[in-house]
Amino acid sequence: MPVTRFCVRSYEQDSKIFPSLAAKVGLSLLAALLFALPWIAGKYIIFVATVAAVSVIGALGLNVLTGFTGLISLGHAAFLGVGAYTAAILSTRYHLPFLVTIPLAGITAAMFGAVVGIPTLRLKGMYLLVTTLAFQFIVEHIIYHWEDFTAGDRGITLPDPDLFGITLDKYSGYYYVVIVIAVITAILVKNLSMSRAGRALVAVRDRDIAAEMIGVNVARYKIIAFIISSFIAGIAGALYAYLLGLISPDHFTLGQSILYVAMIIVGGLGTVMGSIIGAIFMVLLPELISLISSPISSAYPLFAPRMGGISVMIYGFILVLFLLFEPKGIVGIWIRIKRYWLSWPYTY
Amino acid sequence: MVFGLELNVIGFPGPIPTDHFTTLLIVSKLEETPMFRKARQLCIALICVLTLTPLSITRAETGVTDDTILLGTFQDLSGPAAYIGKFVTGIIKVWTYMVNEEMGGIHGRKVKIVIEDNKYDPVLTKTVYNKLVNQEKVFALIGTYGSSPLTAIKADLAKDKMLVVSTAASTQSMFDPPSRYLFWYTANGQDEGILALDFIMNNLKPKKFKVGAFYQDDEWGKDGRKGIEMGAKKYNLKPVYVSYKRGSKNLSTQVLKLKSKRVTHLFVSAFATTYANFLKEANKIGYTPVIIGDYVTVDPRSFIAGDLADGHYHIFNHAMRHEGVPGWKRLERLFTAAGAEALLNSPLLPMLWTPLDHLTQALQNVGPDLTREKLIDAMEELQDFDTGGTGPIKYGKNIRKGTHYYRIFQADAAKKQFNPITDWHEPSLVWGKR
Repeated sequence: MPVTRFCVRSYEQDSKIFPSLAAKVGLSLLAALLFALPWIAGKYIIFVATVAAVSVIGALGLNVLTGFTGLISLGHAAFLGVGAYTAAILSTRYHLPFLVTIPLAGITAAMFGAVVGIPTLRLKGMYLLVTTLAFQFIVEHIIYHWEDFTAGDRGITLPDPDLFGITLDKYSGYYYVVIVIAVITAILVKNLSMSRAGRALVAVRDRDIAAEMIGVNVARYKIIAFIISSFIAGIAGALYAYLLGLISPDHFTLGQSILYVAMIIVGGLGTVMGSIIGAIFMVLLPELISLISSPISSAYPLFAPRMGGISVMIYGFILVLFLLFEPKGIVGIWIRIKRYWLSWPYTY
Repeated sequence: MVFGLELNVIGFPGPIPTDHFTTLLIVSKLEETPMFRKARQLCIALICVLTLTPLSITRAETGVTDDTILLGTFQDLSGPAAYIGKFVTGIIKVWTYMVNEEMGGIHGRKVKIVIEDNKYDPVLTKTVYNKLVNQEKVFALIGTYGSSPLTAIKADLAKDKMLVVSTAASTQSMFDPPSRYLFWYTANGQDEGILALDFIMNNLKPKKFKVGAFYQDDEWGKDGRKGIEMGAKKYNLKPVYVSYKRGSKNLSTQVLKLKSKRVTHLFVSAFATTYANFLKEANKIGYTPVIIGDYVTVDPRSFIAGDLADGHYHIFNHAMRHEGVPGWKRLERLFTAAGAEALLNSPLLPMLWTPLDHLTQALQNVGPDLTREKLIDAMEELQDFDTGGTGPIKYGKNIRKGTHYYRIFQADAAKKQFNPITDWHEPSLVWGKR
C-alpha cells in the first residue's frame, strides 16, 4: 500500500479521515461541483457521471478484497450481477421499493461472497484467480439459462427508482442518490482501512503466516473481506440496474470483471483514493478518446472502423504506460507531486 | 415629447423628460400623432418578430435546421461485431453521398451523420445513445443492429420519442409489440422457422422424415425455434431441438445428438462460420441431413465448407447480386461512384440499404416541414416502395415489421452463390394471425 500520509505526529492526527485543511477544502470544492453538476451539465454528462459514481462504488468493493487483502478476483462483475438481478427481481416481481431492494441486493451478494470465500481460504494467487473466474462463469450461465427467474437474454426491465413515493429523475434525483451512496461507501471503506479490521486485512495480504502468528484469524478475515467486497459490489450492481433500466447477462461479463481490476490497478491498489480516481479515469477515458475519434468517424465514415481500432489501441497503450511507469497508479503520481511540494524548495 | 408621444403621467406635472422614458409603464394617457402611429406600427412589427422568432425556434424539430438534417448512429467499431460496424458505416457513407451529392439534399437540407462507437456493449450503447440524443441532439438514429444494444435503449426510445430507422436486430421484441419510434427491417426467426417447415412439407414432400432445429441459445435462435414449434403444431410434427452456445467452436456433441435422433431435415439458425463448422463436423461422422439455413447463412463464408455446402437450402428476404435486378444495378453504380465497391460482395447489403432508401423517399414525401411525427406518418403511408427487386419493405399503421416476404435459395458451391428456387412468399402462418 502506498504511503499516503506524511509527518503524522500524533495518534489523533493519524486517525483522522481527512488529515489536512487542504484535503478538507479540496473535498468541499469537489462536493460543491458534484452538487452543482445537474445545473451546469447536460443529461449526457450527468449519465456518465452517474456511471462513474457506480463504478467508484464497485471499485471500492474490489479494492477491499484485492487491494487491502490481496485476494485477486476475476468474479467481481458476477457479484455486481447478483446484486443487480436481486434488485430487478425484487422490484418487478415483489414490487419492493428502491430503498428496500438496494440493501437486500447487497446482502444477497454478500451471502454469495461468503459462499465463494469459504473454498478460497486455502487458495492463493493463480488458483484463487481461477476459482473466482469459475464463479463468474457460473453466475453468467445461471443468469443466461434460468429463464423463468432471470428472463435469460431478454433481460429484466426495472421500474424507475423512487424515494418515499417520489420517482427519481435519472438525470438529477437519481444522480444525487448514487453520489451520496458513493461518498458514504468511500468514507466507510476509508474507516475500515484505518480500523483494526482493516489493518488485519493488510496484514493478511502482506504476510499471512506472520499475521496468524500475531493473532489475526486469517480465515475469518479472508471471509470478511469477501463479504464486505461482495456486499458493496451488490449495492453497486443494484444501482447500476436502476440506472440502466434494463439488465441482461451482457451487462455482467468477464470483460466487466477485468475492467474493475484495471480500475483499481490504474488508480492505485490498496487506497480509497486510488479506487475513486481509477474508476473515474476508466469510465472517462473512452469518453475522452471519443471526443477526438467521433468527429473524425463522423466526417470520414469509411475511416470509422480504423478509428475504432485506434481508440482501443490508445486505451490499451495508456494502461500499459501506467503499468510500466507508474505501478502505484494515479495515486502514486499524486503522492509524488504532494511530496515535491511538501519538501519544496528541497528535493527531499 | 418622446418619439412623437406626448405623455401625461399620473402625478407628473407636464410632459415627462426623455430620461424618464422608462416610466412609460405608468403612462395613463397617450395622445396619438402621426409619428406615434408609425412608432406604434414599428413596435407591433418588432413585437411580432420578437414573439414569433422564438416560437419558430421552439417549433423547429431537434436536429433539423434550414440546411441540415442531423442523424446519429452507433456502430461497433472496435468490439466483437466490428466487421458489421465496418460494413454499415460504409453503407451509411454511400447513402450520405447519394443524398448530398447526387440528390443535392432533401428539400434543401443535406444529411450529416454523427457516428459513435458502442463496441456492441449494452452499457456503452446507453452512454452513446445519451450522447447522441442529449448532447448531439440528433433528429433520428439510422443503421442500427444488435439485439442486446437495442434492447438496452428500447425503453429510452419511447420515452425520448427518438426515431430509429431502422434496426436489423434479429429479435421479435423489436417489433412485437410495436413501438411507434422503432422501425424494424431484417429477417424474422419465427417467419423463417415456419417457412422452413412450409418448404419441407409443400415443396420437398419427403416420405419418411424427421425434422429438427439447430439454433443458437439466445433470443435470435429461440425465435427460430419458436417458428419451428408453430409450424410443427400446424403440420403435426415432433421436431428435435438442439441448441449451441454463442461462439461455440466444437459442435460434435450437437451433431451426434441430431444424428442419433435420426433428424433428416434440419433448420439451422447460425452464423455462416458456425454453419460451415457444423457441416464439417457432420461430414466427419457421415451425417448428411437436408439443411434449411436461416438468412444469416446466406453469406459467402458458408462456402468455407466447400462442397459440403452445396445443394442445401436457405431462406432469404433479398435478391442476389447475380440476379441482375435493377435495384442491384443501381447499388453497383452508387457504391462504385462512392468508392465502396468492396461492400457489393455481401448479399446482406440490401438489408441495410433498403431502409435508408425507404427513409429517403419518406423524407421527400414529408416536405420541407420536417418533424419526427410527420416522418413516422410518411413511413407508415409509404406503400409499394420500389426497391428495384432487391426485396420488399412495407410498414403500416402500428406495424413496424418491415419484412414480410421471403424466397428459398439453393447453394451452388461450385459458383459460390445462392440461387432462388421459389417466388416471394409469406409464411403460411402470417405474423399477427398466428
